Amino acid sequence: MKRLVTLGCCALIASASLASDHNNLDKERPLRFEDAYSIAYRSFEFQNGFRLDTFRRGKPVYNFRSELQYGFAKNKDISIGFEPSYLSESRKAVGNAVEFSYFEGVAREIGDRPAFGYRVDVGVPVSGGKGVDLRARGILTKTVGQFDKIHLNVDVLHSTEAEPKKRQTSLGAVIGYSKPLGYPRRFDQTLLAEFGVEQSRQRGGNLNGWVGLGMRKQLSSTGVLDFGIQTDLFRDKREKASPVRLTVGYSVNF
Amino acid sequence: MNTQLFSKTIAALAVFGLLGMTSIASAHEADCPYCKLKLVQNMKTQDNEVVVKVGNKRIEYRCLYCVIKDQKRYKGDLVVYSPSEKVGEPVVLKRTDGKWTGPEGAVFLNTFKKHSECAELSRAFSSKAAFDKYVKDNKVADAKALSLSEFIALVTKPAK
Amino acid sequence: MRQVFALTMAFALLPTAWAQMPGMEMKEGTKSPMPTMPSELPRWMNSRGLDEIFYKRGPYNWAIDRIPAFAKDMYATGVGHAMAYEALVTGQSNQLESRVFSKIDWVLQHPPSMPVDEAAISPRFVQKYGYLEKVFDWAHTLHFQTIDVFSHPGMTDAQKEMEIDRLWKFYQSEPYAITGLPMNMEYLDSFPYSMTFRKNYPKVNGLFWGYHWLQTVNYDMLYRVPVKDHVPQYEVLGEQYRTSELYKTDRDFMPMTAEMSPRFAKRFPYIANAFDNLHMLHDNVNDILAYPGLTEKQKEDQIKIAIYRVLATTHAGQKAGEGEPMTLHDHRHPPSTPGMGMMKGSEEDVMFMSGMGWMDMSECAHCSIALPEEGPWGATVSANGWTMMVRCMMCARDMAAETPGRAIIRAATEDENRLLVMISDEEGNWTSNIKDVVFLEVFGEHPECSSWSRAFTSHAAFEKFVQANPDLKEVKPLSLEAWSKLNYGTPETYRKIDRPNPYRSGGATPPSDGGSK
Repeated sequence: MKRLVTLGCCALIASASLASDHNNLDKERPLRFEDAYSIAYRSFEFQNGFRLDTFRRGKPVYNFRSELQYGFAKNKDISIGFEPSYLSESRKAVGNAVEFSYFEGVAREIGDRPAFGYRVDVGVPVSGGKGVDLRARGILTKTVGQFDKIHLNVDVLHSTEAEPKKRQTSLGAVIGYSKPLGYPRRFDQTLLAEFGVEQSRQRGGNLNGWVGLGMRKQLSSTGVLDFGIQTDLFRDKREKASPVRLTVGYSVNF
Repeated sequence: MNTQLFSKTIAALAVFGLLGMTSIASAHEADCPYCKLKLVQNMKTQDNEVVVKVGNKRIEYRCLYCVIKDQKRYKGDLVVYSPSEKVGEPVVLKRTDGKWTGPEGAVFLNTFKKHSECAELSRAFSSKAAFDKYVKDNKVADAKALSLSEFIALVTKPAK
Repeated sequence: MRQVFALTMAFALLPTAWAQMPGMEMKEGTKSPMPTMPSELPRWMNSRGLDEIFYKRGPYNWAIDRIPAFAKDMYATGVGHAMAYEALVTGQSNQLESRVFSKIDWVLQHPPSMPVDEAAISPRFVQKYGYLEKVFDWAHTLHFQTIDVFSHPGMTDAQKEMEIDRLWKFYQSEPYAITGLPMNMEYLDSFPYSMTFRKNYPKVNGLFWGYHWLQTVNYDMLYRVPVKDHVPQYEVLGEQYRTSELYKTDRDFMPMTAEMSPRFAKRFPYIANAFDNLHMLHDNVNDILAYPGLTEKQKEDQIKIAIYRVLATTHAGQKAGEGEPMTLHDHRHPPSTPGMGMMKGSEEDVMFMSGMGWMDMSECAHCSIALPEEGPWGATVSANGWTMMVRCMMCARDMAAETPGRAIIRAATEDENRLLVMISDEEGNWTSNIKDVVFLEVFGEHPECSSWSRAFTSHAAFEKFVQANPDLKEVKPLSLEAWSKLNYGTPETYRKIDRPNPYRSGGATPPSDGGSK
């Protein structure tokens, strides 16, 4: 369950696209989708974020997310991430999982063909869970109109040792939208929106769905501030729905 | 080569050994700062270079009209050496605390329609007689002898 | 070797191959036929990846922000490039001189305070010409990083120069790198499509060349100049850029690095050449995109060929100073200027500079006497958009005095590590970066002016010099104020090189002289 909180809320371990540029979208910064581009070759990116999950029937969960990425080759990056939580209901802090990721941007947008990338994440529990969580995500990014972009993220999640009454494998998808705000007069912020669905991890459970709205704002040559709000549209009745999920984060590259 | 020597060599190269690297503009034959046309050089029989002395600068203009039009860029006092009918004897005009003064008896011509003609048709003369002679010799149409104040008023008159 | 052979064959077959392509006859006024595809393009051109590369890590990165107005203007150039390219590939070329120009101009006058992602502003252009964007991006990275190094306060001049050399190696390590060899600019601008953009879109072309003015003029502002003196200089240069250079539509040719930053180009000729070759690639691409006689596929091919022409890999094994005139491998340069390729009409050191006329680059711009072989001597004068090399302080002052507007003099002193930077106002009142500067000036004959007109960092340094030169022992030092008031006018030794403008005679098509902001 703890891992579910982490992974369920985060969907996947992120990769950045083009270092700390507000145009380049990373998972959880601030929404769950990402674009199909890796960070630049030889760059590091350090992302930190805070997320507040509220629940109708329960006290909030506070998450801190920290991730370090490295572009080890052209169009490829690896990362390591941590996401400890504080569960106010039980007044417990948990480490959740350490997540290792590999991302590859396979193709950029060429002509009418969308950009394509994929990632693989491995979540290793650090709070007493068993097995590992594996996640694969395929990503398409396509420009529509002049500057707007649509991003399709399709996920497959697999737990090597699922808890009883839980699915071992589940699917999810997020449609993301991004639009630079202020063109052609300012070039420092991007609006994001998403609609996502995923299978409940409960065996035989229904789909969970959510929407989100966010903003990425360039604060300096190397730093980007992000903030977002999400809400669950529908959720399996055995899981706690979150009416408001607030995210704020800061990314820096070096 | 030791580091210090290398460093000095580089420095010498960089700072001093800059042979022939410039974009050597013919600044002496520059364009008029106002109308951007080529300056007209002095000739044996007639001076053409209008020189404005402002502070430590001596800027050449194509004609007197261009000087008056461009005067706002200078905050300090001006001395204008305007070629006259006599070679080497310019009509000297001054702008002191914003007020223009010139030699008594000086008259001015300002009849050009296009700037390509401004050097010939916007000029100063030491006397009305010299003005009349120039107009006659050069067959200048619609010529009117202007006082300095009339000349400046005409040039600075707002465009319709 | 294989590449050289392939290239030789490709260019040898050009006229025949092109003659077989309908509608691709040679254009009057240009000398070279439409280029055909070399047999083997670098493989990376067909890579599907974005291939983004991070800049070289260093404490100096983003030091450009220490000169805020300059940084903003530089960031805005990226927007300008991107907006124009996007318009060209999205069917908006008919609005380039009107709506798009106004849009770009607004940004240039209200520049962003942070770098912008050009690819995000020109997504359609990048989708189509992603391989070109890689070349541009990588060269722009070199541009910015070299500026960052010079702007960084935490390094000595010697350390900066060593780091610049490391940056050059870093840049050359990628296949997108542009050659540092001089290339014949007349040849690179001689194809059937050449000059189309500047003729059809003079205002936007003026902006492009304005960006290139800014991107090249800054190096002498920075190079071996104390960081505290960067901002004051940019107050002069930035105003010139924003009020004049961006809106010039009467340039005959793009600004060259060695024209704008002769000291930098002398020290780093390979970087100066790479920037000029990059800027010429911009011109080639503009011309190709604007040329009506090409299909979309032909435009893509021509852009690939244009990239190929300037890549470092294409010129592997070639040497600066050598080459067959008016060919791809014409790497000759004026003898005194290794940081610049041959220009239209140039002969040895005599060449035509747009807006300035013919000049001999081995001579003082003011007195026409040959520049000395050994230092310390001389200065550069920047005024009214140009930068010139002169033999002595007197030539520098008098040249600035006859030029309207503010001016900058960067001059040698007796201390090779202390460059004198002086800035004048509109009326020729000078301020100096060296508080105790004094001058020697005993007017004599111009051929010796570099010995009797000099600047010293202190009274003591002056005294030491005159003691060592008995002829001068009676001479008193001049304060900045006293020195500023002197003026000896145009030297008798000045000689004009009277030849017609090669860009506006013969078959060449001059750029439009129309257009304004």
